[in-house]
Amino acid sequence: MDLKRILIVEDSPTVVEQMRLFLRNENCKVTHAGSEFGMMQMIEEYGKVVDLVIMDVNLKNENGLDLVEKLRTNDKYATLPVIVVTEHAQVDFIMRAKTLNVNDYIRKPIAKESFVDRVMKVLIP
Amino acid sequence: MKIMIKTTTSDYSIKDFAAHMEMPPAELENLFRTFIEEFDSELSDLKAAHDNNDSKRMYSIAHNIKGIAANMEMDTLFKTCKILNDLLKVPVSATVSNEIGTNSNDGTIGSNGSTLSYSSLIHEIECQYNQVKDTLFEFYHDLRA
Repeated sequence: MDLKRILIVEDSPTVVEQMRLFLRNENCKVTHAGSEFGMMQMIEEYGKVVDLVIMDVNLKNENGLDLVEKLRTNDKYATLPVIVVTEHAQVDFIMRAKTLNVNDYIRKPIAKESFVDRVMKVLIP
Repeated sequence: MKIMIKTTTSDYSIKDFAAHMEMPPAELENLFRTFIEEFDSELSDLKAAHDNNDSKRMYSIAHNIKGIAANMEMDTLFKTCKILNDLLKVPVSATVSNEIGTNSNDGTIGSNGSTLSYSSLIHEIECQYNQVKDTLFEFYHDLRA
């Protein structure tokens, strides 16, 4: 697999570090942002190619699905692969994620094997 | 609703967590360091939010530390954080009655009709977190020795 660039949008440093460790053997370059501003900086200003965004739904000041919606309404990122991470997977959440063409969702607490499997399935369809 | 809070020495197993992470404990030191930095900061903010009667902020922090404890498989700490998180979902301060534990040796505490306050829960979270922290420091100190 070619080097894949993953952007994690998550405001807990502990969770970010854990995800990095999960992906350490997967030929991925992982960057992270804690907010919409940081996310758009990573994607746009630095010109980085992002192959996948892993988005926490429950950010402190933002709703991750709102950020996904903002990405999807921008033609440049309408098809950018996104996996959302959430504690709850209620019906209304799943419905909204589907309408936003989210590629997959992962439940918290995160288990290594299912996390890596789901990420790889999106990166290598 | 019965609420039982265990006050015991930490039952956290670094080796079990490392096994689930599929990594040797030595390679998890940075993760634990990140955890301690974050939890220290969140706990400090939680106390400040409590002092300022900011229940919305308290809820946000309780939600976050509950999640972190769950991800790190710190079950006792997670459960106590969850109790605080769930109580803070109720708009008006909640009164919870709990019953006297039958085994005083396991540290189960409570008394009939008592009010479980946010401050007592925050104190309990701090105690349990400090026990985990001590376990981590001791483990990595011994590892380096």
